[in-house]
Amino acid sequence: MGFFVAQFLTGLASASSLFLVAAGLSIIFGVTRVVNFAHGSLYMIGAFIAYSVASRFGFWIAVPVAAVGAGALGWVMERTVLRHLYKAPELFQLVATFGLVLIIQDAALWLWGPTDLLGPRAPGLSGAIHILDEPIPTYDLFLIAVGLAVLGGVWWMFARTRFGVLVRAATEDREMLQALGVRPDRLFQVTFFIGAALAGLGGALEVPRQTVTLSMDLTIIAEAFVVVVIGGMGSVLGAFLAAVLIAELNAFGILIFPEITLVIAFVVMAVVLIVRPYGLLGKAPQGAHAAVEIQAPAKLGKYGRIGGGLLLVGLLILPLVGSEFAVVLMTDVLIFALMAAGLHFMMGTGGLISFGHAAFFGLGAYGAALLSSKLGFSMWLALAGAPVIAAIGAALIGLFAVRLSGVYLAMLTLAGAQILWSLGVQWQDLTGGDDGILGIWPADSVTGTTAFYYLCFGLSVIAIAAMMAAAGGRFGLLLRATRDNAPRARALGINVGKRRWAAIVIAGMAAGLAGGLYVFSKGSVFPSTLAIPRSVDALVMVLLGGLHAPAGPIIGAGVFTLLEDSLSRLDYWRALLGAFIVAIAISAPGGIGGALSNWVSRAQRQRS
Amino acid sequence: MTVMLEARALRKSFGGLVAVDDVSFTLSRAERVALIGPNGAGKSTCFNLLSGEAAPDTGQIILDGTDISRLAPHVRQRAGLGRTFQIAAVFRSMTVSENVTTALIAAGRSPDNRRALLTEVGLAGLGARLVTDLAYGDIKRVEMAMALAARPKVLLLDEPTAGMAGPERTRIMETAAALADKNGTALLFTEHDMDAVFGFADRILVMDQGRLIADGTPDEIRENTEVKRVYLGDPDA
Amino acid sequence: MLEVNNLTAGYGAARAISELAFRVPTAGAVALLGRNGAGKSTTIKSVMGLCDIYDGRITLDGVTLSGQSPDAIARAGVGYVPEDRRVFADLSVMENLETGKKAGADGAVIWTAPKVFDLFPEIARRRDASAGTLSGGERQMLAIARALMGNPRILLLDEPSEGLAPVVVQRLGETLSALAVEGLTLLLAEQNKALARRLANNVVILETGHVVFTGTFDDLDRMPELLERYLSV
Repeated sequence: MGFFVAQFLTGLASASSLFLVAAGLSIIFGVTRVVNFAHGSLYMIGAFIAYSVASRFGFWIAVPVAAVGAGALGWVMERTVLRHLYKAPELFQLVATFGLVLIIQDAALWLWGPTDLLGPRAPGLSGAIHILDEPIPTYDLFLIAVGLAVLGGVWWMFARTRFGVLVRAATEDREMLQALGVRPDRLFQVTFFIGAALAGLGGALEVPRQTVTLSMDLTIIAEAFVVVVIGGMGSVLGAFLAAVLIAELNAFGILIFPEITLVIAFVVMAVVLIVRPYGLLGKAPQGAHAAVEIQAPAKLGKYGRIGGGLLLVGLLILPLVGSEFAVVLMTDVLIFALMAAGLHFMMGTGGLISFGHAAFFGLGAYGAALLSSKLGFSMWLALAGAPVIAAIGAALIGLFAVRLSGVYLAMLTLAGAQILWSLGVQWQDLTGGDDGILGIWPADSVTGTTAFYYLCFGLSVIAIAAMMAAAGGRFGLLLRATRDNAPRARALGINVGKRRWAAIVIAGMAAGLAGGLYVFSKGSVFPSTLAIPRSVDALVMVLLGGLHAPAGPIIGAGVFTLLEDSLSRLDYWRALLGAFIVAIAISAPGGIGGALSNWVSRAQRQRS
Repeated sequence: MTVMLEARALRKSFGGLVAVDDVSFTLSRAERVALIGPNGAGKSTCFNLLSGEAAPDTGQIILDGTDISRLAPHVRQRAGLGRTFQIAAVFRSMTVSENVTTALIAAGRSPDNRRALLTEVGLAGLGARLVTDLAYGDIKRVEMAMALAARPKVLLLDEPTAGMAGPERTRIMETAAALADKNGTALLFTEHDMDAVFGFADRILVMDQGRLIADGTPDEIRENTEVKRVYLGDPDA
Repeated sequence: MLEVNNLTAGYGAARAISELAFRVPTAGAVALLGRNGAGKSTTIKSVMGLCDIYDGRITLDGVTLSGQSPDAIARAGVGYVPEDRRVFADLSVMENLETGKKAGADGAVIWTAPKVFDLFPEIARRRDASAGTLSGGERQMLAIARALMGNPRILLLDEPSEGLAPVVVQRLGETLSALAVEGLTLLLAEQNKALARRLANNVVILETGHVVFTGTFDDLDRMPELLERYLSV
């Protein structure tokens, strides 16, 4: 009995920080309709600030300073980046905040260094109290009290202050509130400050419990997404209930299924989404923005076709004229182009935002690796199995995904990928954990660099061409119809859900095949193939190349991989990439492909 | 006359508010019927029940012998129901021709019919234009062409003349009426422009506070004191 | 005085009103009549900055409203009672009033919660109830009270009688006409001619987005065929 109580209290203590972060995320979303991916970064910054301040002024000074510091950073984010994006399609809002994640991560690296930091214990609370003969850390009890106090405080703010009343009104009907004379910009700024401060507080309070690391941001944001999706976006009480639910599931689940605790969270999320698509206490969003810009795909055109032909010829003769290094690099480009093409297909043509494309890539990679190493499949069979396994994963995720759109879909896909990633790390018997699976080499016939390059070339070109044909043909037309105007599509007899599901499965297959090729090109697979940075890479490739340019993923994968190759030697290249992403989101939503086709059509107009 | 669409005792409430209350009517082949009433009378809800955006609490909708009351919108379409929206709903990333092609493919017809369809709604020669480059009246015509692509048995038009100016209003109603006559499609339209209502409807349904208060020919409706009262708001009217 | 000049407005590509012009004198009241879809609501929304204005100009006491954001327009002294009330359903009656609270454009605070409750004792009794539980008539009273809390110079009322029982319309008419008598400027869109006539002397009739008549109710009485043509069926 005592053990279960202790376990329960541990769960509640873990729920506290998660609740603080999720509540901030939820409040910000309620008012601004922006899902802030950088919210986890504010949590991380809160922890770092608390660590530094605590070492000089003591922990109890550090906590409020960290909260205010994170709040101020949130305010700066709102003023410098987000306010330019309130009217932008959801994709660009999400992507820009993702850029901020990268910038803040490198800023933290620069300021605090790469080593994990062990913070001080909370003075006065370092002991344990015995409850039913079980020692409960005093600090855990303190955290539970803080969680409840913040819930009470937030409730008080919403119920008793003018600001709280306005926030609730804005969550319900922002336009009406504005018509009553309330300035939305001020409301947004204060909301961002408070939401960010809550995240910072959550981070600061975790300092005595865990080491402060540079990966805290993405770990917490994935969990926070699960929490707000379950609790309902915009509902603080929902965030609290969901945080407790998830934390308790973890606390007890670890006793029963120590290897797959996060899968339980995912199952709970899936069940909640089936019963209540907008979460336990959430409501259907009003006046949501378009997920992506409704725009015709750019035509390849004469110059595009000439360029494409030259590119194909260049790729064909590359092994004859290029160095081995160039061939290896271009193998990567081809694989990533295929991965990006899948995302481009579902996001560009289908308007379905995914922040978890790595899930499919990693499923293909791990699938091929396991088929090869555990079942002894030949490379060819394993390679054939990769897209099938990824497609099955995509079909499952797609079942939930088609019920959602925009930011909800983005969060769901990210959470799904994150859960697969944690399986990759946790399920050591199958995946080898962080050590990965090694020794996956290609069949003898394609074992050389050049031979394998041609294999990738052949498969990528065929698969990308097939998707381009599908996007340009009937399938693409009907899919675009669901993206442009779902009610109109339904009224024409188009089964919107089925169409979207098919698009996700196709995207999954492409990424899965790319993942399979990737394993055989590297000879090994690690959890990083499933991790968030891989999903971000895919997103950046698509946006860089141009969401509505047919050759977008190819251009994007090429430029990105070459840039990464040359820039990743710099210490802070992720920050550079982040700044770049923010810049694309704010000022060049068409990407390189969009710019090229604008430039060509302008040149043609001038001539005629 | 063959009954194409029948609404039987439809009822729909939101919270405590009864938006549609015991509404029954029929629509015959090639018949043109207007649904009118003051704001908040329940026309939109009634329309949504028919098109499948909402499901009735009780009551049935029978389309040419099939009970469609609980079917999803895309399944109703396949049963023979077409519709246009109050704010013309088209695929904004597409050309006029692509819009109509999409509708034809979705209806299982050959895209080769697009020219004929565009000519029918008076858009011959505009196929290559981006739909967003058209005047609003033409966008409405594109939508009508799309709704007609499946040769529906019943076509619901939600305020077909809204957002258009002067003579264009009459022209689009003429187009709709001509097509309905030609294909035997029954038309049900909500409309605020009384010239359009009285000029084109064979029969008029009047709703007020969720109920159907009148169902008759234009002449009968004109003389109906109940209808006058709800429209003018005068107790003595 | 509210002046609307050459106003053309709508939503996106759909144009709803064309080249409208009319005035509402200070302390006066103007009723926009016309069947639904005639453009009354769009006219009100244009004044409030809630739809797209393609052409024309709207001024209040010489201050240009057109082109400003809704919150700036509200702070310039325009009170708004929207169609469908749009009260904040999850907020209590008191909290709804709080959302509308602000000083007038001249800094004056005439309306406070106790004063609006004097005007509408029905909602005073339910001050702690959430607005979602109010009846249609109570919601309309709350929407008016909420607008008054902003101490407006002019009150825009979009279909205040819509969906209400005659006895409630009667009750609202009494209060609104008392406000008009006290000198609050009113612009109302209304399908109910009886209520419109009770509140306003001047009338603007809209038909398919155009002004087809401007004058007093007395003028209108002399032209029954106008009523028949533009308001009846």
